Amino acid sequence: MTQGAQQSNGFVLHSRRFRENSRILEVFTETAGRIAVVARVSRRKGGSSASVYQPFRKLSVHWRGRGELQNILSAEELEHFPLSSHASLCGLYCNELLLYLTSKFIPMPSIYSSYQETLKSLAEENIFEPALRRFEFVLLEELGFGLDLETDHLTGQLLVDAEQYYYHPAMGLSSKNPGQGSFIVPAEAIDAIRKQDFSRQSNAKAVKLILASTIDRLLDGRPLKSRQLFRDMVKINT
Amino acid sequence: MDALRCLPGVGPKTAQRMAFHLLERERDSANVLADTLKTALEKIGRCERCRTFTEHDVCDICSSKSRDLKQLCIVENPADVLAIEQSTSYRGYYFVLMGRLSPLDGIGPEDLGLDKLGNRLDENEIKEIILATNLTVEGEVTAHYISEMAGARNIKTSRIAQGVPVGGELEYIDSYTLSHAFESRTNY
Ligand SMILES: [Zn+2]
Repeated sequence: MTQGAQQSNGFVLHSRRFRENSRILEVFTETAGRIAVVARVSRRKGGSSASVYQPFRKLSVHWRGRGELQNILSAEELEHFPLSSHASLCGLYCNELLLYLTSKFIPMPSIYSSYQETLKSLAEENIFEPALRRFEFVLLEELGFGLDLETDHLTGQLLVDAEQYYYHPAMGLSSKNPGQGSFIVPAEAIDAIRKQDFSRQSNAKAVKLILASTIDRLLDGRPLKSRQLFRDMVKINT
Repeated sequence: MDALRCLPGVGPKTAQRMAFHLLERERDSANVLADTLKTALEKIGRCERCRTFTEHDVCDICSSKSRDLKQLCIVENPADVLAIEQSTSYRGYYFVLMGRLSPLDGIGPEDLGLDKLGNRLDENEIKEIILATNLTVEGEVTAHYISEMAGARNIKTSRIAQGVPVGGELEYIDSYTLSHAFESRTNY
């Protein structure tokens, strides 16, 4: 690892207490990828740095160090995306995806800008699902697990036109049933993903299932706690 | 010395100073301290109603008959109850989560006794819930979750707002600010 001081813009994804007056922050930076930094935090009356290290704030961060854990030298807030109630949970879901799926120290500029766009949408719009789908889509693409929506994995040929297809998270699309682990998706949903149009309600469920099942495969059995919380909340209202 | 280091703000040097002080000069006090800690650990448990620390089955606030049955204030920590009691004129009851929802730390509704809170809301006495969780992202998620629980039961919710600095924890806020934030709580 480099030893000189570095600077990048970035967002705190998660923080946990470390000793009495410090926190370990996982920061998703624009130019250095995901890093873990130690930051001193004042919790006393009038303490200001606690708010800077909250998620969903674009910071200009200076840090220095070698190895896994770096030390933060300064952090200045550049922009705040105020996420309230349900949007805050959606934001944490994005953070959880980034924590589990991105590697440390590998810059991911496209994911970074998509993340920022997502926070903007979550802060400004009333419907959150399209923004989340777009973020999931970009994340899969940029991590090298983009969906192949043109090939029939059973035949190896171009997918023939049909009303519906079978989707298997590991193998992809087919027009005949490949057996266990696949589910039926309407052609409309595939078309929506091709066009990256995530706003249509009619196929939202199928699109969500395709992206979620593919993400689950990458997570390799690791459960997403924020998604569980979404489910718990749905249960409250039924 | 290692045992003392579990206390917040006590590093190795301080722990050493404390230990030597107790052993050299304050052996009687050390005994009292040891006994007190032991009794506290044996006697102090969680209130059956609000989950705060208490020596009894039900804490003093929950067993008081003179408070407003219609209001329930949700806080993260026992220290928040003390802070609100000292700084505001709130006269309802409390529910202490002993934490906040934090999916990324694996803390879910069951860890905060929200099932217990649900049962309490089902008793049908509470008409207003005041969400006094910290103004952090996790505090916000927690407030949102509880407001959904309340909404499903047609209970009004409000959230403390102005004055509390973002990222701030109630325990560390001055009483004027906290009192103001409490008075100017908004529908949530
Ligand atoms: Zn109680």
